[in-house]
Amino acid sequence: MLTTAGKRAGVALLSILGVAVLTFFITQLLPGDPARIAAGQYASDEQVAQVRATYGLDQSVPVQFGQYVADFFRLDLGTSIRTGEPVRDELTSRLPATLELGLTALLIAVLLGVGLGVTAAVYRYRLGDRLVQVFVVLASATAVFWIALVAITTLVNGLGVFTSPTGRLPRGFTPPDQITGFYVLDALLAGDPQTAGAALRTLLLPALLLGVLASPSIVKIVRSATIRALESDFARTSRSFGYPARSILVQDGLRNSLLPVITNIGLVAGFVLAGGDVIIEQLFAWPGIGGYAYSSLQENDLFALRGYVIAIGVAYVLINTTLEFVYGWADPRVNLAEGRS
Amino acid sequence: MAHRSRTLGALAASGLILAATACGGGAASDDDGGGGDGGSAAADELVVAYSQDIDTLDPHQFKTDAGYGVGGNIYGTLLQESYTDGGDGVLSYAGESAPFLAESATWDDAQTTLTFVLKDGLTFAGGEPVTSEDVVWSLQRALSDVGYVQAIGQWLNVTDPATDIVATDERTVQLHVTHYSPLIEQFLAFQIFAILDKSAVEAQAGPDDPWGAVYLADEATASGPYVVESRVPGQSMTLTKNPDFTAADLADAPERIVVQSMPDPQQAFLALQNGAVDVIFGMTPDTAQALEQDPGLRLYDLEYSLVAYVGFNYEDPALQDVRIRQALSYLMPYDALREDVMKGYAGAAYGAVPYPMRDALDESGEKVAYPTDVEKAKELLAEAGYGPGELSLTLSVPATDEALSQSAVFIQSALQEGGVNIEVNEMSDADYNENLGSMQMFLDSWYSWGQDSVYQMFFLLTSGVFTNYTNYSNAEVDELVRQAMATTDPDERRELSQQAQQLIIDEAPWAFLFTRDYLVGASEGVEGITHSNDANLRFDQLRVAN
Repeated sequence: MLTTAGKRAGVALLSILGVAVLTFFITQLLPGDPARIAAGQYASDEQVAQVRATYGLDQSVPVQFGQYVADFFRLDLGTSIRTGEPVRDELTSRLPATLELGLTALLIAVLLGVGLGVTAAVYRYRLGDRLVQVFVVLASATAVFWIALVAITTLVNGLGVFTSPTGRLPRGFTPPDQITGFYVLDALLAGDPQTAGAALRTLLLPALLLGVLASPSIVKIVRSATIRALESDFARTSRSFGYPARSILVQDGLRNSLLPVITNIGLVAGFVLAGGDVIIEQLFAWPGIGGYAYSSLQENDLFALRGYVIAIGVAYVLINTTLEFVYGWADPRVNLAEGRS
Repeated sequence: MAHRSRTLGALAASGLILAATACGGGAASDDDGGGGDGGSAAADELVVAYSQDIDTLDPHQFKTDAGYGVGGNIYGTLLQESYTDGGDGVLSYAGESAPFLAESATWDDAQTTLTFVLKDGLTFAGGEPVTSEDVVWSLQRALSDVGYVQAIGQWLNVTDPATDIVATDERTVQLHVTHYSPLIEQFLAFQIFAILDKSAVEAQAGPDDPWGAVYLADEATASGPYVVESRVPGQSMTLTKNPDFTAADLADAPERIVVQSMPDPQQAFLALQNGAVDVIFGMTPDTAQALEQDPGLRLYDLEYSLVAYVGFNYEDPALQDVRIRQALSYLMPYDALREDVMKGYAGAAYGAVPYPMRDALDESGEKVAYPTDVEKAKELLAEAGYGPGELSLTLSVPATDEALSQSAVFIQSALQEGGVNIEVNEMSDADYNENLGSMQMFLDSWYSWGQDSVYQMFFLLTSGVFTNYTNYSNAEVDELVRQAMATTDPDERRELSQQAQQLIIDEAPWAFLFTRDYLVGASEGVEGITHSNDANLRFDQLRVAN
């Protein structure tokens, strides 16, 4: 078991290093001169050259790469050209916001995806299944910026169900003392249910949108895997023994359809933390690393962009490494096949 | 086993819903009561939304409006613009600067030395006294190579900051200049000449960072009306009134200002509608138009000389022919750009120095240098040897500027009617900015702080200046601008400026499209919007009418 964990950790570290190397060379290809942008519109060529020297951008690519790798091993992601702050500090200060939103959205996506997927499987080719299919098509085809606008107009400005998207807390509330970095939890831990409620109402709308938009792939996988499992020999055997339908659904259907579902949840986790999150954070003025990446891209903030891509790469690697262990838990045959016991 | 798994899932789902319902209900009642820390929002708190985040607190390195807005309110300056209250909620520039941290500002007879005496008893937030030494160091920092402000600083007419800016006693500072210019006092009222706490910054500076840029990026010892109370990176910054500020009466100023980052203009508008923010700085024409339909909101439409133009690159063989440039200028759909793209929140641009810029040829904001005239354009093109469809050009535009992107489409269509093929090249900001100066034709907009004609022409249209993106070069214009910069006589300066303006109009290095208004949205009752020359809000001037 320890050997396997060691191998997994080794592969994860190599993957992270690979991400870092790729990130360096890909960001080299970005158009625009970061030094010119950093120096500003009024800057003379001499000032631009000075900025270039300050950030080491006047060095050859191999020298820059060597410095980058050395800094990377020291967990130094450089200094943001846009703000003058260390990128690592900026990312870590914004990461809790992204994680709070992303994990809540993932929870919603999983609950919705599994629930609707099972419903569609149980009522396949009937009304329940058709309605789920309509949901899948609509959720897959809807543009996030449009639905966000509609949702805010109706649910915030119209019905007042959620608070206005001006960050992580509505107007007038102060952030709770940081313990976990998750406002809802921190406020609860501080014994302040009002702030926790306000934070939850602010969090729920972007999380719901992100979760709903991320759920269709889970619905489809759960539906097809559950149908396959329910039509399998072992499910037929369970029925012949007279086990209750619910028990057969959960034990034979869901349990045996878990592997592809877990894989898909891993991909969705990546989507809610990276892809969809950038847009949602931008639309909801959510102060996470997605909004940071958007601003950095606009201004060609080379070091910030690299830091963001590495952070997301690390997240993907960690998710996939975690999934390797979850596979073994969900289906012991995976461990047996790998020689683990 | 089967039932246990199902129950856990159901518990998780119902727990989330219950939590949202229970907590949400409590928070809803708070909001209904006006919000607040654990309940209530102070009546004198105003939330001001900007489309960008506060990039830095360093007054010499900022690049976003929000960064400038905060810097302009936490740092004091020697002088401050005077305003007149027109009774419409707008405070308009009165045409002069008045002492702010300074008690007096006096020119000597030769008008080569400007003497400032600081107000008595001034302190930075925290209690350290503001001394003449702080002033000297702050101005020297502004004119140093620590940021791009140096380029603007040359307009103070200081030869050597180390010797020409001197403290003569604890409260007196002298500025020795080569000659008088009206821009000196005007610029000294801008945030870029903020007064910083020398000892606090130097304590954090080092050999690699002599001006303390790292420290000032996120720390500020306020000398102005507000201090930084707290910050949520990427989201907001809360400012509170500076208790140590004595340079002006802040009795009626808002107690707290929350500077909110709202990158999406539609969401910012919706937040204004539901009361989550009080002021939106820099609205888009679309949202401004929507705002005017809401009786609970108010639009402040401020005229500025922020000029939008199509630049013609003089290094391109086809565009070196003045007849081609004039023909293209005659083909521009000026009315459609102002009315359809800018929704009417735009003025006419007569030349490179449009109304309401100081000394502009056009004093009303209604003149157009090359009114749309397709036949005239075709004649000029034919004279230059181009028949219909024979001239093809590329127009580059920054993709993130929605108004300019839309303008490019209108221009493409209009020029097509005149027989000129246009390929529109939408570029990322980074790509666009890097290629300024080498693009064949480009759509850009520019605002000169101080709205001064000579300053505008110097940076954009004199030979060899790095912001002259068209590579336009006219020795006569260069000389007129140089003389205007050198003279101390305002009438002569105006005459020289207007001669240069006419030469530029005749040679059409740009198609002068329109001027963009600054659009500020506010909740009904919010007043005291400053129509300032640096296009910045003075938070201490904001008021909420009963």
